[in-house]
Amino acid sequence: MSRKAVITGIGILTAIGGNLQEYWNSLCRGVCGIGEVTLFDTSGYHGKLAAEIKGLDPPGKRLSRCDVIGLIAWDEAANNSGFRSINIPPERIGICMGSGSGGLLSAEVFRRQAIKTGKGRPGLLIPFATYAFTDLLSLKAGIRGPKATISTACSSSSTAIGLSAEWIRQGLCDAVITGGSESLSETTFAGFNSLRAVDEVPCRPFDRERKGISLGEGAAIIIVEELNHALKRGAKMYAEITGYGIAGDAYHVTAPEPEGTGIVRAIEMAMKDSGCKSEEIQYINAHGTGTPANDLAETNAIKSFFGERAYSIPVSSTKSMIGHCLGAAGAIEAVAAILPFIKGVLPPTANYKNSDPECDLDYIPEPRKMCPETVLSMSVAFGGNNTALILRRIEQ
Amino acid sequence: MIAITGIGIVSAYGVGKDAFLSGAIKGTGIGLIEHFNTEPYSVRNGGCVKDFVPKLYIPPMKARRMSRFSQLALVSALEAWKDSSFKENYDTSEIGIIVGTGLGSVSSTDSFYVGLLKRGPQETNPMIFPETVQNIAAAHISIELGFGGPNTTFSEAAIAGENALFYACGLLKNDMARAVLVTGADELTEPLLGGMDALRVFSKSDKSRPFDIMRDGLLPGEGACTLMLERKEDAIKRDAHIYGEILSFGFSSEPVQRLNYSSSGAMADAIKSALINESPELIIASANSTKELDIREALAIRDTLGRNVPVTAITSLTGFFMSSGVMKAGAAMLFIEKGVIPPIWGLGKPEIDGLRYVLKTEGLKIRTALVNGFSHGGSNVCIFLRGIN
Repeated sequence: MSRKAVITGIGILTAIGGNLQEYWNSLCRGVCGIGEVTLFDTSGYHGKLAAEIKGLDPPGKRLSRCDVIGLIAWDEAANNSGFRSINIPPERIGICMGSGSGGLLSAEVFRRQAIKTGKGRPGLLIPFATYAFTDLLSLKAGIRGPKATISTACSSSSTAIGLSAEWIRQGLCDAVITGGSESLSETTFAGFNSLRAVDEVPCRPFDRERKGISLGEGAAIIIVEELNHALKRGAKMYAEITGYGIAGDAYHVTAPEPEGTGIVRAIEMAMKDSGCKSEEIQYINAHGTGTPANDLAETNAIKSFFGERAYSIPVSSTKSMIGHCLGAAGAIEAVAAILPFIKGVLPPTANYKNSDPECDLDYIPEPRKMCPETVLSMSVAFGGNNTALILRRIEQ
Repeated sequence: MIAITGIGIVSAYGVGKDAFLSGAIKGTGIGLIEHFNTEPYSVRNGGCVKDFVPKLYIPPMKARRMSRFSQLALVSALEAWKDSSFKENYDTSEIGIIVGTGLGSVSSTDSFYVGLLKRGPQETNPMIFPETVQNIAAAHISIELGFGGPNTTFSEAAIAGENALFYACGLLKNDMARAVLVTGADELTEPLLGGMDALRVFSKSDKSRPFDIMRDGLLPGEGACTLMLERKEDAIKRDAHIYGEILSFGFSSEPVQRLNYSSSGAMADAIKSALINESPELIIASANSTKELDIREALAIRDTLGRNVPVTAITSLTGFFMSSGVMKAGAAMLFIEKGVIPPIWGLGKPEIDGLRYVLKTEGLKIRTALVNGFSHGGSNVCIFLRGIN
């Protein structure tokens, strides 16, 4: 019998919620967490806002803000999955995380110290690498199995979730810790501003007036487990990860391919991987950054893949509430995509007001009651890295 | 089985797999670092790609906008693609690109941030920012070659290349691609060297000597290697030159602090799980001249494979860079094909006796090799390969 991968634990921290229930409640109400930034001075930028997590303690020695956010999410995931008493040999537990900029915020402090005094505090560099949080979490969780970190900017953790499910399905692991953690940093804030890709107001995905992204930060840590093992121990199951697909645009280093052909290839691979038919998809959690180019390319891809049916599939972008959490975005949004399985509500596209003749799908500006069986979560990144993740409801 | 049908190398010996092999058997590629000033730091030597002129391979306007990381990766990919002689009609969306890197382009991140500090938010350079993401090399490779197949990037400590290879093999086995280019690439630039120096990982004597009793830290390196992978039956069908095949992988890890290595026992577990009923005839070690790693690896090898399997170490040729796993696999194929094994340059007196260290260039007729990837952070990946000689 073929092995299946199911989600048995979720921990999450974003600007709109300190835990899973808060996050889901905020999504159900369309709460927007995008506002002023207190971590650093943003007064000199065109786009000044972001979805910052407020009230976090500053990182301790040898830790980054990314580590701090991720460990809070991990703690919740470990608790609600019963991970700490799970009966799986540690060699059969893997870890596969997505990360965009890792502990860059700490490296920035190091750099400023080095410029000012000629010497930075070395401990600030320990959490710098993109893979550093993966190593920290594997230490905290006592992992002895395979370990990997995907770093494809904005689609990193989406691919990581897909790969975790693959490890389970191919028999490499019986459980995998996956997801991603990302903190704001001045470099990414300045970077997206330098590309003129940041909106002055909270981002408005798919809206005719949309001008760009709003950055965000957060973490989602997800426990993926082999179905029979989860059944045997009576674990709570949030969803099945049936498959994923990845494809490169081969087009441009920052701009998406306008017709969305790379996104379509990612969806096609996900369909093939999961043995799913296109008519089964009932809701799409879009990447929906709020840039004119991304939202159009994604809309075009949905129309191209689903044909006429595209107009009857609800599509939403939760970035309108949590901002663009880069390397953690895919995982945070996968958790939004399974919200309807648990609460029977589709998360809305907040801030959506004006319909765009080119983006003419059903973007659900308000939360909507619906209980889909199968959903698609899409991620699109810089460099043309597209990921499609297919999640299915599990009868409890 | 997955066949290796193309090899592209950019290393301390220059551009090309032939330059790599002919250089490696003559001496180490490590020498004075010349492409930036090393005065403020504790080391002068490293394995730099010398006389690297990217515009000989990449259109000059494009090359100018790329980081060194992207340039190294792209040139190695172009070399591997050429080497694979893949000519028949193919669908460009069926060719995948998987990259492994330790840290991508730290120099781009640093120069973007320093520009921000110096000139303020309105004067940052938007051309540099895209080069700060780790997946930028895979983006350039896909754009230059026009390949829209599966594309992703692994950013890891010293198992980045090994993980990329494992993933690519899975894509081929699951029929998600017709062929995959797997690249391992890392740049050696001033901010990276400065950061590593602050973490005190470098050799105090400015020497790389893996396994030696006198070793006292690593020397930095850089480079890129790309392997073209196909299912063996497809490669045979198109009458490709097959260097060899990837037989199996072994994994293990141990919960340790972020800069520490796993125990030798966990390393041995990875070796054992990669080898099924067969001993390798050559070991390409991970040893990087640090006190911590080399002794554990030596013990792991001795405990699992005994005293008779020749052991060599690529870090003694190229210096240490995190994505070297792809180059280790490529080198194994070249060593087997030519029947010649370069030694562990710099090794005089081993700390752990009882291993068959390769101490001078040897002619050996062998078929199989084990590649060890043992990383700080406690993760281990081993690859078992068979060559065609």
